[in-house]
Amino acid sequence: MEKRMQPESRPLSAAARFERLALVLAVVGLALTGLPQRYTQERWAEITLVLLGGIESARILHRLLAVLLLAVAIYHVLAVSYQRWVLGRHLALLPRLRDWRALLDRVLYNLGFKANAPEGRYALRIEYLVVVISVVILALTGLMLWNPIAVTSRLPGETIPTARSIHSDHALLFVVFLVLWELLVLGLWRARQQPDTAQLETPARSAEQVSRRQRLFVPLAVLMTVLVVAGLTVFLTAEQTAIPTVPRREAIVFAPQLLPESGDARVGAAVWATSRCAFCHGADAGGGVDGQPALRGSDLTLDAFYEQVRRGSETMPAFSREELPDAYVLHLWTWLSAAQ
Amino acid sequence: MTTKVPLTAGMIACLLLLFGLAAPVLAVQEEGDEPPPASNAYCLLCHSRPDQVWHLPSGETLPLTVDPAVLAQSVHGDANPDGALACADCHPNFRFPHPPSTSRTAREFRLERYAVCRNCHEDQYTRAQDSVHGAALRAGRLEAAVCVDCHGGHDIQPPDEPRQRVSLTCGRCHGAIFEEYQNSVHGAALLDENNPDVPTCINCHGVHDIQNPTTTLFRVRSPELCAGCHADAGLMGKYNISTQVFDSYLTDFHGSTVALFEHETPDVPTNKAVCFDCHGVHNIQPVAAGGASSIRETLLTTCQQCHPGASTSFPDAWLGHYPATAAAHPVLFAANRLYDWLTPLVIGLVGLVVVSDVVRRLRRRGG
Repeated sequence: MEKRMQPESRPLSAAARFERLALVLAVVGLALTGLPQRYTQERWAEITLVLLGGIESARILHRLLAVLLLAVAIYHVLAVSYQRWVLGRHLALLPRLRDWRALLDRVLYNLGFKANAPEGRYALRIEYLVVVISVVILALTGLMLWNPIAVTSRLPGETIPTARSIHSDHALLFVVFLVLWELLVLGLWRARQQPDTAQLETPARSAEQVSRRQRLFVPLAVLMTVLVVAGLTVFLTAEQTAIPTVPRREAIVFAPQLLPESGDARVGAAVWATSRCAFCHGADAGGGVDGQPALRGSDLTLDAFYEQVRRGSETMPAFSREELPDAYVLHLWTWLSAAQ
Repeated sequence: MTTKVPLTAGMIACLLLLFGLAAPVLAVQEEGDEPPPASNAYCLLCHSRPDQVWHLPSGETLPLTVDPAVLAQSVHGDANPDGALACADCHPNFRFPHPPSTSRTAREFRLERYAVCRNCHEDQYTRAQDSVHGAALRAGRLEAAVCVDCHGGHDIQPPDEPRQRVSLTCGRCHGAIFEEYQNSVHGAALLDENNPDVPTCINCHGVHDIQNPTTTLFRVRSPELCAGCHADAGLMGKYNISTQVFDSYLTDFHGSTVALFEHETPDVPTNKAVCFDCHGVHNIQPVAAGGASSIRETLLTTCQQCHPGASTSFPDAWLGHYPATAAAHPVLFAANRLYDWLTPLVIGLVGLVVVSDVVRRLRRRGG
């Protein structure tokens, strides 16, 4: 025997109100801290992130709100289980076929094909389904992004960009859906004031039955909660994904006297083309117009060449280390010696 | 302190000749007027001789010989659009005997003299004072580059002709960095082909107002520096290089964060990677060098610099600056396509319900 329930007959408990408040806070907060991360190149997103204290602060807030949402989800599972299994209440939270038909009837009514609007809380049940699916998708993908190293040590690397893409796309879809749906549910249809024609209640359990089930449920619920919270805590705190500070690169900045292990003919050619050598000895080191010697294919030793460059001669200026560092002399010699 | 210049027979001859040439000038000077600037011929009487050397108190010698042909072929010589400069343009008030110098070293003398460039190149001089070199000089680092260290003295050539000259100039002081650069993809193309498109030092660091490249500000702005070339379709098209690197970086976790830091708090350090954290700074190599397996190994090592615990599959989380394709990333591609139609479909249907409801209400109110 089924008994139809009126909404007035079961006002929301304080716990349920708190749960709903926490859910709204978490979802709105996650949207406010998450969507700007999706649209970082947009001005409005940048302003929002500044108001949130910067991108890193927004990410921390997003994670804290995600923890709140996970807590709400865990509590909700426990609360529904308690209602259903201990108290024996059939809550009819998920939409059935008749709820989808009611939605279709509502559209037909709007379009003038039906005389009367359907009654009931079908819109709330459809919304509930979307919320449950979305929370599961966003929580799973969010946890993957939280610990990418742990995830990629067991799953393919592609999992991370896929999770990021789904998390971002689904969050957008979810937020837009919620805004539009709440406009319908709260603003236009006033669905929460509708009588709930679908909620059923099984025959009330005796106090003894409830008490017996409570004795079994409470320790199980506590155990499950502890296990889930402990597991999540371990997972969420186990990984340091990145080092906090990128180490500064060390470089020898001022090194005019550096002598490489071997000469580089490419550099030697460039030095030749840009130094005064070519002015007298020719652009290709093949000799100057005034009889200056050709240097290409020179068989001068490096020491002799170095001495000539540094000391010069009556007809050739000396080149200082500032003008032609030792390394460049080596490169020059390498190019001249290698050239035929 | 006074400086000692050895008095050679040649110099004595010069002195006598100078005295003869200068006598009319000296006569005018005695009458109280400013002496006219010394002519090039006047200066070259001594400075064209090959044996002119100044022995400084430090024991260093400074060649004083000037080759008129070299001077004539410099940018200040015959090719100067404003006419060839005279010795006195850069060495004003230098007549014989020269005023004594207080410089003890060749470096001190150079630092004493380089400010004369300001007379014509005020803008460049001022910007150089605001540069990392100017700051180092003021901090007592006497080796910090001044005008003549990069451009030369009497033999000044166009500083970027050929382009190789730019990096060779910087390499004279920054030898270790030049050694890395010469073997990089950019440096090799510059040295091997005199490639006109690859960056020389100044393309990334600037010319006269070179700023400290180790600051947080430089770091967060560096992606835009790279994008200057790598987001240029015309330029990259010549080398078949993707121009999606910058946009893909900006939509990535690293790039979006760095961009926000750059816009809002450029002085606050971030641990998110910029281009040179992965590709290197002066030693940038072609990504495909060594083949696919090499890329994978290199990428893992690169990732582990910031993500020490990264496993072998972690680098696969990076799509490599390219959008997901069905062949390369089938799961991600499918997810993207799914939401490409799911999002407009769901929003469209819900929107339709809302609109139909509103229209019905308006009609009822109107009729």
